[in-house]
Amino acid sequence: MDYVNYLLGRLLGSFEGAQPRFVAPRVVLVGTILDDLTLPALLDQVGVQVVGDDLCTGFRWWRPPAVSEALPPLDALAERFLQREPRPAKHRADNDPGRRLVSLCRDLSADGVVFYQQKFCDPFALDLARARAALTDEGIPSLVLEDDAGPAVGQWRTRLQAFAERLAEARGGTGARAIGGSSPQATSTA
Amino acid sequence: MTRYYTTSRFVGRLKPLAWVTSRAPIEILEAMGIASVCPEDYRALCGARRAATPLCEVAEVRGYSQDLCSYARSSLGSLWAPDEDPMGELPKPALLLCCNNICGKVLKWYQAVAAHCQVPLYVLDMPYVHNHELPPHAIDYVTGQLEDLIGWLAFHTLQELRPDRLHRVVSLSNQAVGLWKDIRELCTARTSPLNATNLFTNMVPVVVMRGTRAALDYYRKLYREVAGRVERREGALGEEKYRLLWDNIAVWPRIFRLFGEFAQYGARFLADTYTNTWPLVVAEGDPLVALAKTYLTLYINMSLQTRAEGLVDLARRFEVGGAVFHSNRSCKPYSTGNTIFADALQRRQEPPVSFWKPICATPACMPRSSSARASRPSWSPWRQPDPLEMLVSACYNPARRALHCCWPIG
Repeated sequence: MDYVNYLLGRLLGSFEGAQPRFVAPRVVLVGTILDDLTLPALLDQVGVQVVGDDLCTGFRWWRPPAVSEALPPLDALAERFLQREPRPAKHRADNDPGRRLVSLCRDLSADGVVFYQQKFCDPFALDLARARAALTDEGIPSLVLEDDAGPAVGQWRTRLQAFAERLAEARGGTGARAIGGSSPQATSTA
Repeated sequence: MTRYYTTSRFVGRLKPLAWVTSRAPIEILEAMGIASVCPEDYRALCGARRAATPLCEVAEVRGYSQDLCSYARSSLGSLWAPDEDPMGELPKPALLLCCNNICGKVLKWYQAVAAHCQVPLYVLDMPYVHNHELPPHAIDYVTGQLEDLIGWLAFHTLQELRPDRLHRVVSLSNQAVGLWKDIRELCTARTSPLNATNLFTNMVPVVVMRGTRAALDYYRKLYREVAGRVERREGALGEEKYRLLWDNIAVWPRIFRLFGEFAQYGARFLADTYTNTWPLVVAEGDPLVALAKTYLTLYINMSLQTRAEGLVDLARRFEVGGAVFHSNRSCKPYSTGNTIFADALQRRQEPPVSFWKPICATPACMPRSSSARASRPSWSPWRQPDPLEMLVSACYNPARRALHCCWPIG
């Protein structure tokens, strides 16, 4: 763990004074379990930049509150699990998936949202409709990609290209620009 | 039931009205003078009247996937397009009570309704029961929630819970549920007095009217009628050649036609897991603890092993010769495990089984029509065997112990 923290410290240090590298449309990737890196690679290929995510296997794990070190460990873990943002399968009265996602997009200056729907996950599918309606109300474009035990690479690429063009036009640019032009395989191993 | 739902529109104007999931402890609401309606039951009724598909489509246009529960889709569709609901929408709720002992997705459905109607939602969280024995912490957890629920209901409706009234309501509920259990047991008779259509259509009062005098009166009358049929050895549909078991929810849009097709071959579904989920009697003692135990041990909230054992027991007691597992795309919690249940039946040399894969409230996949079958030439060496004949033959042909039967689409 110390070594990881050391590496993260070095990475953060390297950002100081750096110029922004990306001018591509900015998207938030939203879903449950992303167990295959084909989609992020395709997003790279079509020239959009993932500036944040709301994935069960992504930043949802790291958002506050942190586990308290002032409490007994089990109490602290229980408190963390009860207070963190609820997963789609869980309930908290004050949770509104649409409002939360709109807020995330605003914070990250995102141009659009790509939803990654694992077809087996009904709770997320039910949240997705509400979240997408909230985005539409706020004028934030979104795209839904469904996955049923394996990415539909060709279809996804075509749809993502069209989505990227739409986002780029909305920004007033001339079109999406590829970031590095890496292949899905190359990026997934990077 | 049409009268019940018509009446509920007026009752909802006289006292607070709650939308509740089908296996929520409505005895508490009844005892507090809070009216309740059950959207699941109502959506089944819409499905049986073939009114669900256009409403599902309204929800699909708004982003709800076709893979989701058709009850949820048609219910949400009705909120956005009430004019599309041929039966009229349900009366607007004052509050929502969602109990997840039947399914996890009802939570999302009720969240969407709460957001749309801007009404408070109480989620009664029921832990899944992994073993035969109920763990004490699960009972404590649910009992605590029931105490909290009573306070929440009182806060939102200004109604109080009187202990004597709760005892009376629980007693009425127990009597109705007990009668329903007895009625189902009468189907163990050789020449069953009821078929699946009778069971599915007559279970509704025990779902939506538990704890009321009307439900008790209904089942008293029904018991007398069914017992009379047994005495007279009067079958549901005449001669009974094959005794079958049905697993899962009925295919509401075609309930009469589907079971009628089987009936043409003398096959009767006299036992099923769905209508059997109701013989849950609330025990004596602290009513909240008893309610917690009752609603925790619902069939679908139990482990697959427990459910398999219950299924095998049902098959034995009712002396069925075959079983059909309805692999219901619309209800994954109910359909999950049906291959395990089928294996359990076969391991114990119980009847052979068949699988069938439609969805419960929209007629997406159905067996071919009887008219189509009638138009085919009579038997020839090249004739495609009829799925129903295959099924019945598989159930009763020892050489073919299992048949996975996918019916033609459209």
